[in-house]
Amino acid sequence: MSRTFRVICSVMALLVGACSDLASPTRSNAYDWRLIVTFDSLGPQFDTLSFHWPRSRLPVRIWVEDAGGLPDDVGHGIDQWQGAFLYGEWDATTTSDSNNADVIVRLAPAPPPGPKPSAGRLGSMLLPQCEGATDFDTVATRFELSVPLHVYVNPLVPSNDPDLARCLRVTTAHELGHSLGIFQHSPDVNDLMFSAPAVDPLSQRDINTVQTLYHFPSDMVPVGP
Amino acid sequence: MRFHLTALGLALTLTQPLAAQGRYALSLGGIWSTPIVTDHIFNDIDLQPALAPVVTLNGSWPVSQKARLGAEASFATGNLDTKESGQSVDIGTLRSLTVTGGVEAPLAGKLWGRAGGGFIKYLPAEEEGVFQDGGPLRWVLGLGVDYRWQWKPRWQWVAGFRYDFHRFTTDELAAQGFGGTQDVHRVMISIGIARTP
Repeated sequence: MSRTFRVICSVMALLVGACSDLASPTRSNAYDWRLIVTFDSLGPQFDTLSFHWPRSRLPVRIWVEDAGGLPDDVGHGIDQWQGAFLYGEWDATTTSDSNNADVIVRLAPAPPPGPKPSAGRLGSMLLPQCEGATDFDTVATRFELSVPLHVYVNPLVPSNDPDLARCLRVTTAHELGHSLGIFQHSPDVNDLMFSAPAVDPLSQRDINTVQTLYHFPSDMVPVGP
Repeated sequence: MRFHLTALGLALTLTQPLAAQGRYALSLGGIWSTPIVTDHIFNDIDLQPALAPVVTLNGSWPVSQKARLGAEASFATGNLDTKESGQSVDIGTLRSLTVTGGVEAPLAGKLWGRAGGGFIKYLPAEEEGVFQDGGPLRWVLGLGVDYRWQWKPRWQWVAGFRYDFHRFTTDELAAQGFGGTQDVHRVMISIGIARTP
């Protein structure tokens, strides 16, 4: 064996011996995402439930009303949330068939709340330009989530208002956050999932929350369409 | 102009004997890698390239009576898996190109050893997940053994074994608060043919 060869082997052994491992972030600043339910088919129940889309249902199919730039805003929101995941835990695509959608996004005011006790709504408002809402239904038992989820994004000012476009984009991304399983609002104004979202990019807390959510056991399964 | 022609002639004169002494090999095989990312969110999560086919080109030229200087390029393409709680999910395609330079020397009989270093470039099919900012370029160190036997005049069969090591991270991992780098060990076996001087 040549001397050069032996030297290279020795240097390599020294380098390999001085190893280091990737250190995971703690993600300790995640906020609570779980859905608090107070009623199911057995009557009043109190429970805290987690939901995320199972891999078998990916990509989540989103139908978008073609109005007011909403398809672009939804595309932007999908890109933002996709960027939060490291291991392909969530993916979404737009679909042209609303009968086959997991999430329906409309540019409209949310309808009046229905009488069903299993139905819930998460609203958001970035005053004064627009508002948003995500309606969900835990069906007969609190362990099933009825699909499709309905998202409403509603402009509150004329379309020529210079701040409307940004409000719609932020609110759409916020509501998409609810549709992927964040069923509470962040208490921090710097997060996209704050009840009155004011920031466009996801904060590290938003990212940590959704990463934690997608590795937490899901209590609910999507049912339908 | 005359100078350029002279230089070209000189270069050809010098490289022709070198090319004539070159040994060139083409191999096909499989490569296995340890996880490129290990994470923990309630459970341990591994991101690991699946066993993948690999094609390798190798050239070497004598630098002394016993040693040869070699260059080797390997291209692998396969699935990228995420593993959590005993479940493995294919989340995309990951390719890698590894280029190394090294020294080759006879070990015993038909066995040759190789040691070298170079770079590995990850080429993800989709820029997403840990590769949102593209595939990283990392340095790599490798060792290898070839078993060579004659097939025809100037042609040999080559059975190869390679081990290499690099440290993995990406800009996205750093942006999300991961510290340090992940040690990645890879093992490749291959079979091929070589044209000898």
